[in-house]
Amino acid sequence: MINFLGIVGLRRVGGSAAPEGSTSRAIAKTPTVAPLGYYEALEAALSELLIAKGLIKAVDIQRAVEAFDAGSPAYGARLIARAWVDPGFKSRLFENANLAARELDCDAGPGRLIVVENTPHLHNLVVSSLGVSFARALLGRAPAWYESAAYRSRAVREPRQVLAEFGTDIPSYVEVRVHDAAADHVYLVMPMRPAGSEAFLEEDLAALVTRESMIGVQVPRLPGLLPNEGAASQPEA
Amino acid sequence: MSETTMSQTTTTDNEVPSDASGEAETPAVLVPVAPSMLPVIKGNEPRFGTGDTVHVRRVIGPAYTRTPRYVMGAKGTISRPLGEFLNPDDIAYGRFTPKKMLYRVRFRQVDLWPDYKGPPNDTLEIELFEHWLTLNPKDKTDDQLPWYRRVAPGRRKRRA
Repeated sequence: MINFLGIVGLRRVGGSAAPEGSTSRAIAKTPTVAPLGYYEALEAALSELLIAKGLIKAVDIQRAVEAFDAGSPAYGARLIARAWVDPGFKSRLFENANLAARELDCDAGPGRLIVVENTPHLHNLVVSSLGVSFARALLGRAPAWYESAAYRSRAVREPRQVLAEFGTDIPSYVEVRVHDAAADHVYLVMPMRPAGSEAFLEEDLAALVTRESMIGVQVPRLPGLLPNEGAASQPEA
Repeated sequence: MSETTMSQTTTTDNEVPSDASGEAETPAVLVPVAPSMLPVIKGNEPRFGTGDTVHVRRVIGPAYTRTPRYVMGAKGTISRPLGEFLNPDDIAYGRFTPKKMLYRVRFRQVDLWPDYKGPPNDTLEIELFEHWLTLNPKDKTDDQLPWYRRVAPGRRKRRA
């Protein structure tokens, strides 16, 4: 067993890891200079075998990759904006977020979605110290910093310093709550509605909600405000 | 520990058919099945309620676990039960043991990090499985056994 794992490890080091989402079948057909990596070869062999046996079609693979990439921060922003203007939707969102997302024709993706709300006395921050959990369907692909070892280890240990590096200064009377997400649940932060956006329509509100504000490292700001002004106006909200 | 082990093993036989029943009309599509779509199997009642003070067991061994080292041995409170889920610590070794109750547990940051620089009311929430939690801080049954003597919950019934 140890021998077997050792061989796998060696091969993995030798081969280059496949870039996410690229269909390595296409790479396999074109005459390339670099040899296939271990997992690329495995993926190509497996998918070709499944297609040859008639279990799946090539279109299915393409469709699965597309479904994997279908997420976008616009979906999450739509959810948050609706929750800001519609208290009934907000309560349903906290009750069962997966069902509530379907009301807006959003698929919250695999994994149960938990929405956590920022209040004047509570700021939520999402991290996955294992690096496996991200609301990809509602936020798109995870940004590189979210998957970095520095963020995953520091956000649980010194969240306020991490937030300060993102330009978010949380006053000491506000509780900072870190959510360390495992794979069974994905977390989405519902930020506070920025002060001065009372007259905004739902579409304009959705434009204020950024991916970073739904992870919790930043807060949504009105356009044209400098970061310091936005942070100064936040506690009064 | 032995109590929980016995209560969890009793549900083994009830759950196996319900998992197998879905295999007949499995569509040949690569899109993964969302756990939120799977039927919720109500077998066990949650042992802990919201607000209970719990302690995380310290089990440090070579095995894979979703419970990070930094919460082991720490005191926290149950934020809410999340329902039953397959245990990833077992799936990592290809063992599909019965589902186990999962909780969101809230810790004070000052309890986790002795050198935490920040206000004492800062908190951290994490998902932990029931068999990792105990009400008694001196409950060290798993700790005192060497790792190769520990019996994973849900494994004893296999013989019968």
